[in-house]
Amino acid sequence: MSDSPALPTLLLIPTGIGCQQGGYAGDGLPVARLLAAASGCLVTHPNVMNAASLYWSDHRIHYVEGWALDRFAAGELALAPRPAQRIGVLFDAAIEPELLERHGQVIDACRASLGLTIGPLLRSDAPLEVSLRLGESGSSWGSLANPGSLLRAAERLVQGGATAIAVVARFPDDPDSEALAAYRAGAGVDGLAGAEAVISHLLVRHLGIPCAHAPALAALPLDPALDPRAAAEELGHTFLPCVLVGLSRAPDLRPEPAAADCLHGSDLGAVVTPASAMGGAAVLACAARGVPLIAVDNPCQLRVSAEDLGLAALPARSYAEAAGLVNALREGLDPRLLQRAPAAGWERGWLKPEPGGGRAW
Amino acid sequence: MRPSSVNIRNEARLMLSEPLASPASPGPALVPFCFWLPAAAAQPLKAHPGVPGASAALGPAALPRPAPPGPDPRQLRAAITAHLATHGWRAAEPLRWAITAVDPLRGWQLEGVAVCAAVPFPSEPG
Repeated sequence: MSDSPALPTLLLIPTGIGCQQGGYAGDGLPVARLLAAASGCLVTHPNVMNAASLYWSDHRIHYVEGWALDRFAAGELALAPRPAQRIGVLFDAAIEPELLERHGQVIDACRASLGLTIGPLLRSDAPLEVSLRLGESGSSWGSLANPGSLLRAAERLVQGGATAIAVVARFPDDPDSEALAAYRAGAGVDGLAGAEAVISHLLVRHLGIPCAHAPALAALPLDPALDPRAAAEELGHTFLPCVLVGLSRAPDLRPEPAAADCLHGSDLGAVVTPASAMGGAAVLACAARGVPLIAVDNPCQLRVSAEDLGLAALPARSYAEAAGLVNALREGLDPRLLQRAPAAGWERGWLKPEPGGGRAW
Repeated sequence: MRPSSVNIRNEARLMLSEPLASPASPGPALVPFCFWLPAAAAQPLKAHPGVPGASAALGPAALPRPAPPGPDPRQLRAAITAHLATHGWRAAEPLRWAITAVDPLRGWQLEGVAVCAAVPFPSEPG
């Protein structure tokens, strides 16, 4: 455990691009726990933390939805930690009564067993009509036909006292699809994730409060060959518990300039992201602000490297190596020195002489 | 009988049941996009001034050299808005987007979903 001041670090494992680590059911959680320990302060998003019925709560980890995360990285929003949120829950009108009751029991359980503050609850005034698709790049995207219904219901929850919102939308069942079979076998893209992100992005943009999404789906047939990374989603009847736990201590979102005791984008000391997914809004915003980028070998559908974009990044072959680099930055060590021994011709960093002559220092 | 459980349940399940005002507006439109942007269109004009915030406190000797600035996200957002405007979508705001491919000839592939006014307006001819 380091005694050095925390180094606020952003962990990104983009949703729906098939990352081998973190592209399934909360299988980025061990990475988040490690980087939280290395940095002392980790900001990350629901895709990393959400493991359906499984979750991990750590006061060093800030659970921030992707739209807000992009604004935080750009220095437009600050994070204000708080001990608890009052979570309103928004249900898609398309959810069948039995499935709705399953979700109601999750809410009961989270109140009775975890002591979370949950309510009010509301059904949308019309089915949200979620649709799924794959983009040109092979990453999952999606949309909903009735965004107005989503936003109206969310506004009512805020009027009813909610300070954060969990939204549960009915997603299309497609148990026989090849894409789902590949995902469950640990070799595919999470086909739901892109649409989930669009829903939560839209809500956070509209309300400016923490929001996260859980899909409502019929139970899948038993698969004895299920990949362990996808297993968390098959433990129960809903994906809601992790969302409620994550939101329960999510930080408030404050437009900049915000109070000094908030966590600001300018406080970030490192960004950890897959090496072939460097083209996201948060990474580019951090790069533009000069925040050190740590590019981790975590194969996915995309092929957009730091080199492709003209960005400088510290390469890491694993998240364990990335944690070491974060620790080095936290301790004030030059992380480049840890990756190879300085060679005789190692550049000392002299500035070039001024055109008129003289010495540069 | 477990009265405490019943109380928790009843309180937790407090559903807001009043009907919403109607007729309801359809809300914004969510518009997917995917197009290639020449890389030169979004290069920043100048390099960033340095490493801000906590990382700057480490001192220059302990840090990687300042990164080349790379694509400017503000210009990329503006390019997405402009692209959707040519397809008739008013006031488009990129909601979720990324550079999802790079090609030396075509530039950067921008892919994502934007929030737009519900009804597109006819694009200008020519």
